[in-house]
Amino acid sequence: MIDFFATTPFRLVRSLAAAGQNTPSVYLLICEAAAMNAVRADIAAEIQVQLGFDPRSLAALEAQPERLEDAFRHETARPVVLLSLDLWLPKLIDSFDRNVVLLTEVGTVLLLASPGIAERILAVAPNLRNRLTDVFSIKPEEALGEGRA
Amino acid sequence: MNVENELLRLAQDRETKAEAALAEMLLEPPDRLRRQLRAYLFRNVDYGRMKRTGENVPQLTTVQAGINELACPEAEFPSGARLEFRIQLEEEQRGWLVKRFRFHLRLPRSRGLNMIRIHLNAEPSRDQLAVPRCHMHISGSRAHVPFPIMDPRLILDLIFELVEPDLGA
Repeated sequence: MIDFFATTPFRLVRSLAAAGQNTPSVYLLICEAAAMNAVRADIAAEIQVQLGFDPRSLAALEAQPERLEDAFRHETARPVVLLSLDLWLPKLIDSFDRNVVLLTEVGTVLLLASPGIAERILAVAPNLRNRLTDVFSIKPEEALGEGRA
Repeated sequence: MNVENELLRLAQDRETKAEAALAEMLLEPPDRLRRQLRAYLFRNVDYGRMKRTGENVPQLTTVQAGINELACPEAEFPSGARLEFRIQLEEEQRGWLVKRFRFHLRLPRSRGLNMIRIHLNAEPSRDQLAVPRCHMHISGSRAHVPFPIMDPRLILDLIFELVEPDLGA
């Protein structure tokens, strides 16, 4: 797989703050499966601190392929959706690809996926791939030698 | 009551109020406070009020069970002033309380004052008249000037907004 530019939850959310949360954007964030919970928690904490609201955090199984408009409904107070793609769900990815415009209506969508799942998404979902604002490799803060208490 | 005793009573009264204010001042959990302080520092970098700093500042360490420390070893201002701070937090039943802190602003050599230090000691002093628990040192003076109890985030903001622009520029 291509080595994508590496970022951290802090840097990612700083860039969202600079761009404005209502700017339609879809990011694919690649992290090791074992680190996914830590990265998700870091991103949520940084959104709370830097942007001042809780993101809508969803697991892949919570996003129903036939009802994407529910998962990606625009909410003015919480215009960031953080979706963890911790399972390979082909119907869901296919639905993303066919309804990619729904993803761009919510504000900012952060798709968090393991390298294997990200690779499959990029291969089978050309419309989604074309709409991605950026693809980053992302690591939890512990990986940078920082402490947490 | 003679004047000395009256002054001592007044100092004890001041310290009692300071202790009560500290006991009421619940802070964010250390990891969230670290993120808030980091975001604050980086905003100041964006505004050109501070030189670039590392993403791992402030650093969070566990001093001992229930006591965490946030440390910024050095933040540099465009004026050449430098700020170091340490904040210790203690976990209690109700949440996290500040146990001690130290803000040390070194000013450029060209200025009349060479540093300002704001301290919260870990424990009240035996000599409450001379050493308030929260105090400020100005330059090399040994005087412990009483300083109001306030959230360390407010002290940081006070340094960035008022003290350094006035004394460091």
